[in-house]
Amino acid sequence: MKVISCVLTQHNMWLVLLAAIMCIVGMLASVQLWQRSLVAIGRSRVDWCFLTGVTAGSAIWATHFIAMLGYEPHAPVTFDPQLTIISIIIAILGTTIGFWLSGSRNRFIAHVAGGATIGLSIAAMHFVGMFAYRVDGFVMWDDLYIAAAIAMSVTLSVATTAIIKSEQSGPRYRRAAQATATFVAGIVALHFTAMAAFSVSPLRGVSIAADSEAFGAMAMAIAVVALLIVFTGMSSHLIDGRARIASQNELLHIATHDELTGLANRRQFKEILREQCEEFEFGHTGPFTLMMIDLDRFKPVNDTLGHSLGDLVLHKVARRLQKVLDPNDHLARLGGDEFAIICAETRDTSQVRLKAGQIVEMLSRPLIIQGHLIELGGSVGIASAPKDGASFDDLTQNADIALYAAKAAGRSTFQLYQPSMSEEILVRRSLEADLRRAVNREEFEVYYQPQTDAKTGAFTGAEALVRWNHPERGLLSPVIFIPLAEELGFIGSIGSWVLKKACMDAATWPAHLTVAVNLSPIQLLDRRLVRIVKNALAEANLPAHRLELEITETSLIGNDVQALAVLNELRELGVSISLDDFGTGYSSLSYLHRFPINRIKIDRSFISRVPNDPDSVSIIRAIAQLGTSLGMKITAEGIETDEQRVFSAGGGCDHLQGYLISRPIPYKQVACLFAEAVLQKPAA
Amino acid sequence: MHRLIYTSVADIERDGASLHEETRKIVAISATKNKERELTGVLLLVNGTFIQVLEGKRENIEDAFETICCDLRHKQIKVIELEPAKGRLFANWDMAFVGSTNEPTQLHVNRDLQHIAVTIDARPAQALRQILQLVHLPHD
Ligand SMILES: Cc1cc2nc3c(=O)[nH]c(=O)nc-3n(C[C@H](O)[C@H](O)[C@H](O)COP(=O)(O)O)c2cc1C
Repeated sequence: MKVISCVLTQHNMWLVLLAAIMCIVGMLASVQLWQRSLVAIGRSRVDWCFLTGVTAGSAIWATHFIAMLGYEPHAPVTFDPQLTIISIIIAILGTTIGFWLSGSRNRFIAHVAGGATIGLSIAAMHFVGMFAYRVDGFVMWDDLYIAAAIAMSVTLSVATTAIIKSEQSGPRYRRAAQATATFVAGIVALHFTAMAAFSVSPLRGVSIAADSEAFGAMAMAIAVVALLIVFTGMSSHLIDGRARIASQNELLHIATHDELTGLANRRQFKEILREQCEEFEFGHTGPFTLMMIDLDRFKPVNDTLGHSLGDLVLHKVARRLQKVLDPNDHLARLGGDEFAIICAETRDTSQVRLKAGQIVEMLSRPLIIQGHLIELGGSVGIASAPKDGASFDDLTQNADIALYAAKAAGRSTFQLYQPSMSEEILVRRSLEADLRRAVNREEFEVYYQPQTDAKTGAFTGAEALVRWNHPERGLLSPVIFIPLAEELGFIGSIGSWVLKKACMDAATWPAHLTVAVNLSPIQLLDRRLVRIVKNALAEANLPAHRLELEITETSLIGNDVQALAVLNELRELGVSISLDDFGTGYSSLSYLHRFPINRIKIDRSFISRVPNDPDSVSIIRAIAQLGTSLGMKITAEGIETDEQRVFSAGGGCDHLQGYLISRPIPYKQVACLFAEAVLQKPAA
Repeated sequence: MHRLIYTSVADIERDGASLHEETRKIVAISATKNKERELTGVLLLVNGTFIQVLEGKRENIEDAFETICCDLRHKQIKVIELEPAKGRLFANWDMAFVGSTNEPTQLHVNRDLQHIAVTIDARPAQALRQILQLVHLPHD
């Protein structure tokens, strides 16, 4: 075989070896990059193809050039620099295009056009390189070998492309190895077959052989540069791979973690708890505990200090909670101000209690953020497996029930689940359902408690009080259902219904009588309130001055600005405002002076202690004096005895209300009472 | 420049270590940490109650307070005061320490500490003055 003898006899074996190493290393790297380019999309596909082309092209060219330097034609040799450069460019650009074509979805284009382009550019590079090879001798080309060389290059390149693109299963590296081997085979076959096509007979008289020492140095230099290019290409691939793994891990982290606190999120929490339940079921783990945690008073912090500060609070709370955890505990943020802890190993209840106590203690510690002192608190509900259930649903449900109980017990405490808690919740749930129905069916009634002038004893009006006419439980006092209605968000609709009804009823009373209606703090924050009041007055055709709205101090504390705006608007309508339950809150009268208040109703707790309790006596006197000096009217509530009536009238109160005068009575009765009084008055 | 005053209740018996020994450790760590944060102040220990004053940049006080609040060796942390201050009262101390003991010679110190503990809530300014006197007292 001419090709083999060409390799063996006409080449410097050291340089051939160097070329072989160059080729194998270069193709190994190129195949990796090629595979990477195939999964790249968009603009980055072009970049990856180019990087592959630069790496493969340089390696192939270097292989070729080093091998050619190893060729010993026994004649002086020089290189044409321009053609040499062109041959590199052909190698790089040609393969780049081939790699790009190989990414086509069309198999024919990918395999045949892509592979052939690669094979042809390698061949073109080789022959252009050979033209740059200037040898002082008689050069002859064998057409048959040339054709064979090109055919082999194209065939093996197409084969390489097919291997790379094949979707056969099996380890990736095996396919990469196969592709590398085929690629290398194509390059080697081309080179030596083409060299076999080439023969030089030295010109007579010129017998200086090629300077093999200088060629050796040149070959080394080219190898070093080409390997540098190859390693650079390879390392970009590795960096990219690492970055991709990192970003995949990051994506996984984002999907399973809460962005704000870095804790596990609800999804991850569910997974961990499910796993824990399974492990327990199979006996791999012992008892474990679920704690549900809710922050107390977080919402007002968020509302008043802003969300970004609220976020900082949650972040710090999460850090603090982590201090209480044991290594096997999982802390998750379920959303909002809800957290959960899964304690993987639970020895006994005393250990659970200790930890829960520490959590409550931690959450009750003050926070200082950007100069704000923030006092939160936290309630904890605890369910332990297997005592309180061993399934995901049972545990979460029971921990939630315990949490609910902890909140009902006054917050900032923890509660271990107890079966009786479920019953209490059931009772409440049914009351909730009843209330929902009551709102729809308007199962409410308005009762009226008359008020009199302290001096003359004549009626001045009445306070409207809502009652719930429960089908089974009879008439229910607002004390029972108003807090529930506030929590469930029904207070607005119940409140407007009462307001409407009271205005309608009062419109039928004698014109000098007023009606007082209670406003819950939630209603006072409702932007629609002023319009609702206006409509109620208009519908009933009741003059605004006959309506009095009663608010409590708690409505004013904390949201004074908004409350002030609403109250001013109501005052402009002509409605009067009275302050209910006065004396039970913290506010001083001078603070309340800022608000447009017409009347103060002294709380029944003071009235019930007069005239015997000197403290109550002096408080009532002081309130009455100061209130009067600020231009407010004073009502004494809860008058039950004649002594109380006499004292209140003498102590400076303008109006009286209480059982002594009348209990709250239905509309029909109060209407009669008022009508009679009007009839009697002229007679008296 | 801000000043923070807070009180808390020691929760150290649980670890079995003696209260005073552990407190010495806390003071030593606090002193190094506070130097880094350019904080100065004092820690008092009165019958199991800590009273601490910290002064320095507000952010640094907040950082230190956060680590203090992560510490389970005390409980019932209550902020008495966090206010802007004109200057440092305890400029010479990264963390001074005064604790009540059974030493007969320390009777007056014990009495002062008691008084401070009782009044700090209602009259922080007055208590602070008294703390200052206590710290500047020549110790032997
Ligand atoms: C009563 C008490 C006072 C403390 N005072 C400080 C203090 O002033 N500065 C401080 O850095 N750490 C103080 N610590 C200690 C911190 O809580 C914490 O243990 C220490 O700074 C070590 O922090 P590290 O866990 O971040 O290393 C105090 C701890 C307690 C119990």
